[in-house]
Amino acid sequence: MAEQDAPKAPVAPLPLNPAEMMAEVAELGRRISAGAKLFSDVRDADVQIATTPKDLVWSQDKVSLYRYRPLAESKGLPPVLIVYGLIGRYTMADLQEDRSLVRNLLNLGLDLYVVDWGNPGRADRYVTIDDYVDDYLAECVAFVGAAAGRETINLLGICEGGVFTTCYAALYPERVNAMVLTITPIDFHADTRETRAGHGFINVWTRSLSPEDVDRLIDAQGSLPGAFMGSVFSMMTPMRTMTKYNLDLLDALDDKKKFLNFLRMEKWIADRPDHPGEAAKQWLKDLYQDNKLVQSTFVLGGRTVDLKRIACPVLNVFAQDDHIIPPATSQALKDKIGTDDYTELGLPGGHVGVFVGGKAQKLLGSGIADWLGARG
Amino acid sequence: MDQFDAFKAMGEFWARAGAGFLSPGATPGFTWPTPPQTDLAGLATAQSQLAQAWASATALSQTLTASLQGGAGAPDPTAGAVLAKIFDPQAWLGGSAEFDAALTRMSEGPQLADLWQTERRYGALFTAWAALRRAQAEHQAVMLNAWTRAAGTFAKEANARADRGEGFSSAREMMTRWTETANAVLLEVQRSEAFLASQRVVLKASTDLRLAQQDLSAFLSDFYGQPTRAELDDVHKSLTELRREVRALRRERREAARVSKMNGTVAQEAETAHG
Repeated sequence: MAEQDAPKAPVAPLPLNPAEMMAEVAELGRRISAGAKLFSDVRDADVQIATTPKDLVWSQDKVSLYRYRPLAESKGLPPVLIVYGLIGRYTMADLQEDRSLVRNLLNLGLDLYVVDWGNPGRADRYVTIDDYVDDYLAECVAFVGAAAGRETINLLGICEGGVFTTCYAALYPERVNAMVLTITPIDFHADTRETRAGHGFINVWTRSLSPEDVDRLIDAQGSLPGAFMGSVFSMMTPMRTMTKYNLDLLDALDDKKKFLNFLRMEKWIADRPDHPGEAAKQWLKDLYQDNKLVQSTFVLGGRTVDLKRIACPVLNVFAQDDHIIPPATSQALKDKIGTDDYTELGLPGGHVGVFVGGKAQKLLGSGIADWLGARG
Repeated sequence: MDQFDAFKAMGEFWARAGAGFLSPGATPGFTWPTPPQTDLAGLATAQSQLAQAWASATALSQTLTASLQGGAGAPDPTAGAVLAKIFDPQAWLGGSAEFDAALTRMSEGPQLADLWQTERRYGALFTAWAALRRAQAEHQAVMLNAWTRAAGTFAKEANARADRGEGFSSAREMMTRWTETANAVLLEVQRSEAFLASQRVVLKASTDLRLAQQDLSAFLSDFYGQPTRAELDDVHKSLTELRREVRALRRERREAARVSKMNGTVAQEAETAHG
């Protein structure tokens, strides 16, 4: 007892002796050497993403609409149109065969389409969200509806794409059978209601700018460069960013499967298109700064996006640990729309993890399919 | 934790870590050439000097500010504020205010129609470049403060563990703890007014630099008969508007065809009904 109570003698914070240190260095050398071999063995073909077979069925300007080939017997439900945003690319929903929302939904018998916004360049500076929602998305919905012989279809919006589908459903309620939103911001100021460290930094950062700062940025760049947004995302996980290509990569190198997953994610992250300038101004000023969507004062194509006009059933999926789109910013949709058929589904994981995380992505696919199945 | 505490904790941390690693007899049977004790002493002294240097700089700053106001009995708030700014150690990172002012006068002063237009643009470009460098330095100072705070917090925790006889079990565990500590501090700093303000200034300065580059580029393009960025933007704007019109016309045509088809069907049904 007396021995236990006696204060321990101070030790060095890291009590490594030379032999242990040599052993650690030797182990590190072995892992780096094995990793270097793995690096040299892996080819680009080994890290393909978005491999689920699909066919181009419609295109206009830089926008393409694809239909996925079925993987199971059809359930006979209205087709589902996946709409991703302009920040990042839809390939996240089909990152790899065993982590693919697309494959999960196809395996559950859904008829699936996806819109690809392409690679907007400086020449697309004057393209607006009005163009994306009122023109391109409206055309895609018309095509999918005509192909299926239906007046209404289902929409599945992801992140900024969820904002697009929300706007569309408010402007064209007669064309939407049901709408699934995933990790979608509705109230861009709701981050202030949560105080979780690191959550909602983009909201805080955007509000720290003046509208003139945004205008001048777009004047100078012509777009919101994808690389620039990438750096903002990196700032949200500062130490993770610093350890990513050393500690994290070193860990991934121990396991080929893990390493390939790491590279696939890198491939998706690297493919970050530029956001057209005028659309970016609307995104940053009208939505992030002025919060017009939740107030039903956002105007597209000369018409106000009134959330109360959304009459279709809505499934609102959010990630419980989403630091980019904090849950409260998504959940704000409740009570703002003109339907009582509103369901929330909070899934474990973060903004991307909800799509590619082992557990969440399975729950996501079946959750969406079951919900849509009940509203066919 | 202020700068002095942070440096003091770091100095103590490194001295302990170094002493622990190099203490003879730590591993039975393993012999390691004993380094000259002066190396370790030098390291600790250097850390201590660094801590003293920072403390001295701050103390010097405060002393100079106070003494140049005319003594404690005659405080002058305005002079105090100005002097505090002048003797703020962080201002040393800001750099060339006077040089910058000269360039600003050159780029924004009274202009003559045909003289020095090229030079003036180069001057504006250099001013923008200098402003960006200054903004970056000021932002780095904010980050340096954050890092110092994180390092100090971490070192203090590591020292406390060592005092309790609980070292880190591996370098990885220590690294993980450092990462967690630093992440927590950085996330907090990112929401601070100082961080957001300095980052906004960096963004603004980099935008201004790009606009100055484009202005020079447009001037030279025009001079050599090449299309400028503004002219290309005009073309792209027209193209976007024309595409909008084409899409609208296509929609109208499709809608007209649909209505016509519906009317035809209705008419046919009516004819059939009236037999």
